[in-house]
Amino acid sequence: METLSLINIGILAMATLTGIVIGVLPGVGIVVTMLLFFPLLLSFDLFQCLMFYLGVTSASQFSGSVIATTLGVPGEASSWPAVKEGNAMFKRGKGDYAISSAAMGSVFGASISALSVVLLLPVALEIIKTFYNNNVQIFLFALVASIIIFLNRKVFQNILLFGLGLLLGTIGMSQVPLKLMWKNYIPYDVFPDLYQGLPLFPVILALFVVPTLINNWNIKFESKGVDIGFGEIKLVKHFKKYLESFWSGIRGSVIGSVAGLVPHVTTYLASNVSYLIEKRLRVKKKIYHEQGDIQCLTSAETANNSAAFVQLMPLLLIGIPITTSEAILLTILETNSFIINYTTTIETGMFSELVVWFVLINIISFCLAWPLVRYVNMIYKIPVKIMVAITFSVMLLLLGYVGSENYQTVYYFICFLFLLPIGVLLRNTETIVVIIAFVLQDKIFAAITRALTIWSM
Amino acid sequence: MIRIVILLMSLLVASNAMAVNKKIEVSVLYKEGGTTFERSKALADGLQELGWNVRFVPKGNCHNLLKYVNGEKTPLIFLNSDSSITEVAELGCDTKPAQENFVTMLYKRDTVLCSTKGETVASFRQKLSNGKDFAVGATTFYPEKVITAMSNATGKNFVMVPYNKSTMAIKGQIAGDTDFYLGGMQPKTMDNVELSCVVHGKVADIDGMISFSEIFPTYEYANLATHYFAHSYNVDPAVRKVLAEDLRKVMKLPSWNNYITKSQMTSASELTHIKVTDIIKSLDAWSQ
Repeated sequence: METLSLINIGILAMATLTGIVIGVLPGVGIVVTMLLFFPLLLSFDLFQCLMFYLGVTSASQFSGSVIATTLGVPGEASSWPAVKEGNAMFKRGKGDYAISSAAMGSVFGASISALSVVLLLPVALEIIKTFYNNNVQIFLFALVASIIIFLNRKVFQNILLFGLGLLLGTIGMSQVPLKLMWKNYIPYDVFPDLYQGLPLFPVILALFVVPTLINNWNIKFESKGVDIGFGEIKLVKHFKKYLESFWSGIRGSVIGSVAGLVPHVTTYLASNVSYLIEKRLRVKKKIYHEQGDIQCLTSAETANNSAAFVQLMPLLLIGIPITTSEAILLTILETNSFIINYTTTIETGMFSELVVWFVLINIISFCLAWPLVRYVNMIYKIPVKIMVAITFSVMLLLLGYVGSENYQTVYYFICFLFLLPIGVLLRNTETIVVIIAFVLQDKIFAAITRALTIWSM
Repeated sequence: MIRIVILLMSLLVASNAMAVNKKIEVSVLYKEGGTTFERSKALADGLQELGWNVRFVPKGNCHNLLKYVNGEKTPLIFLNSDSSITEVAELGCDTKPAQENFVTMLYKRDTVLCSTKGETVASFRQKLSNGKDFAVGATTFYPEKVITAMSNATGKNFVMVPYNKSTMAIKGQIAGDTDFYLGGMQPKTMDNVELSCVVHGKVADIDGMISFSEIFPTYEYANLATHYFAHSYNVDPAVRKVLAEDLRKVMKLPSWNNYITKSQMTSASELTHIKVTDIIKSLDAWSQ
């Protein structure tokens, strides 16, 4: 394996531990984590960036479900089935089985989805090449935008938020079409930095991180000193128990592999759809356990980790991010002048190596998440307000650092302060929609410009 | 004897005074993440290898760079090109070279027209004579007039399909968006197994390819190329002369030579005839 090195093992360990920690902290999702590691990621190569991202997303699923089961706190949005079924099992003294089945299902789901993708890729590669066709790109962008806008009942609000993201993205010199946008309204000569547009870091900080932190300010953890230790872990016994949910895991894996491709909601959709289908099947057969059903839980958790891998495929193959954290990852990769598409990931053989590391990440997460989460009560003793204040302070320091790396420290702070009131005003909305639109704006406008040219011929 | 010693001492002092202070800053017009940034860093490394005391001071954008050179007055060079001059002019920056700040030519990248794999000169000719409308993918680095001029030269309709990155333009060509791809001669075009580059802008002959001037005899951009040169600020003439010699030596270092040869570009040693006036003249072709 070309990628086997001490540095990569270190990155794997760091990503896995980070994932486990963020999985237990409500409100500190992958997006905030990617921002916290922004400067470090700028020094990684393409493979290391992808491995770090996979490590964080996968490991957080493991610890997220453990904490959901034991404390009834959804560390990740996709952990709701674990809150419902796992926590109910925990309350009737079967928490260890809930956790082991969810964890084994997660490893199984992740491995199955990775293996399926590896087997299908040679056949799919010719089809993937057609995804670069401009008409297909337009369709994909329309699909992403529609799903994001129609995600919840606030369609009109989402349209406005998406429009705001597009509007902010247009500031500066547009590459396609080649045009200085809003030149009659924006004083480019006074602030020449504006020619380059608004930088991503202050935009995410003001419009996503600040609203998230404000909303977290008054969260109260109710761990109440629950003992989440289970004594000796008997793997064989737990594995036999897991086998009872084997077919539920298979169903979860298939559902996760499909739902993981739905933009924005990937793992959340995968775990919830899988859970609902499994529950319906079991209710119909009259075998659903009202006080926590292990099959429903396993199915949801398997789907969760299948989706964690599959969701990365559009980015790896055609360079289109389908989640906000992937959009940040793409920005980091582009800043480092890495090009991400099937040529750089599949044809170079990097993908096969990534799959091996991904399975390894899941096995390590499986081994670590359970024992480490026993100490979660220690984290939960820290007052939320202090955690929020620390996160915000670190973010401000990072803003200064990333700005200085781009020789635009003052500009970064001005952008942040300019956008901050908007972020505060929008704190009760899905500002993630603004971020996705902002990141995709240049790609959407370029695809439309090309389409108009090609169609007019 | 004393006189001879004094004379020798004086000569030593004088020669030291005349010795060039090999201290220079290397800057970049763009943010980190592009080829120009990477090449500028390689230029700084090369000079360092030749004994220069180099400080790499990227400034992120042309406005910051111009503010810096006007304020600091420290000797500085940056990698400039005719296409880059017209590009930053769109952002309100003037980086046109003059005799007193032009250091030396570094390399030249010619233009190439590619089609999907399997295309030969014969099939390309056939395609041209049978077709009426042609979509040509290119980055907005190329002015649209370079492609519309093909219409004037052939009587057919050539339309530019704009992309922001050459990689995307190549992928678009492979996916069937465009009939041809217009770009620079570099490994990703010349060595791409999915593409067949059939027309080139080089003055020399290339096996299996045909030149623009041969296939489009009246095409005014037949020899369009990007001229990369070292542009200086606050560097006095004596230092500039030594710097020019050393930069040409840098172009012969293995890392640079490999980059230039692999990309089928023209190296500095073959470009000594190109003067500032030639660069200024080429700006017309590159202006948007």
